Amino acid sequence: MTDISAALLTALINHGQVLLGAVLFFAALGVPLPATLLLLAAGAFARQGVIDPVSAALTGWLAAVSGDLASYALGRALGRHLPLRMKEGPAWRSASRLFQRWGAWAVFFTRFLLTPLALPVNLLAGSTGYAWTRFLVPVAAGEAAWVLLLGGLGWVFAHSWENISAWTDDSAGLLMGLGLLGAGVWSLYRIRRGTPPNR
Amino acid sequence: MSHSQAPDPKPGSDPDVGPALTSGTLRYLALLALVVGLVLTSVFAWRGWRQWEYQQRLADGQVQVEALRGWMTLPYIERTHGLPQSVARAALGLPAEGGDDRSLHEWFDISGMDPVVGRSRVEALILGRSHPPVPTAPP
Repeated sequence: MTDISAALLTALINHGQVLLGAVLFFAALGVPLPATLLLLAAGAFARQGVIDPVSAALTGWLAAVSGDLASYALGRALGRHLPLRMKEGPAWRSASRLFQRWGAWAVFFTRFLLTPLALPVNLLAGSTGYAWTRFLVPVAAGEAAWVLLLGGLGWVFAHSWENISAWTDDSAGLLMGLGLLGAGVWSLYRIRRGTPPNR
Repeated sequence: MSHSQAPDPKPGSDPDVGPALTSGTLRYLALLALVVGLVLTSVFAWRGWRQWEYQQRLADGQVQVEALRGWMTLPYIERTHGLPQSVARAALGLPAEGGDDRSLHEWFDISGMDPVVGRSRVEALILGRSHPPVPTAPP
């Protein structure tokens, strides 16, 4: 465990949901903070009576959703400053079209399954002009699933939550690797057959 | 010179999304995804396997893990391990009051105590409270 993680755990004991909310908000903005570890610990601490479970879950959920909306706004601001040549390029327009079609699912699943992709998806949603009303629903649902899933794991495994933390980090990475591997194999198969993979 | 006219779409391109990516670019992206996916899968599968192996050794009792962590505060230890703060403070030679928000790590830093010695002292107290010494027969 790093010094930062240890300091944040002490701060979580001392400041409860305020600290949890701050970490989840800044983590959604891309600041490298151990959000998963803190969420699991919060579940365990709630079980041990150190913090209140309901207010911690609500604060964590609100903070994560706010952080996602902030990074979406950042993506939208950055998208306006992208050179026209890039925005009219085939890769960008193809990505934008794919996002319009599959964006809601991408947003939903990157909240709690493929979490390392959450920030890039937020930035892509903002910069490609994906409607914020369509963005908000899967964000709210996905973050609720994330908070309940990890907080619940921390609650259930209150005495061994540090081990669970290592497992969750590894499974997110493994899922991402398997997803990329599957996408690569599928795309190569489609190219070989003469069908473009994004049709 | 006029820039108002859009260039004619290339044959085979989709007018809604502009020209499609070339097959060379697509092949390159697919191969990149394949390679990165393979690397990530291997790394995280290996880490997961190591973690599982470690859990097995823990379960078999080959590895002992301390119950205490440096990030724990004295009130937290009191709540989770049932060791009164006053007892822990006396054992570690700390002031009787104040610094409730300090972690064990910080207390060891401040008092200049070796963290291993300090932690084992607190652990001995916790174990002593959970397994009280067997009373010896009176002489």
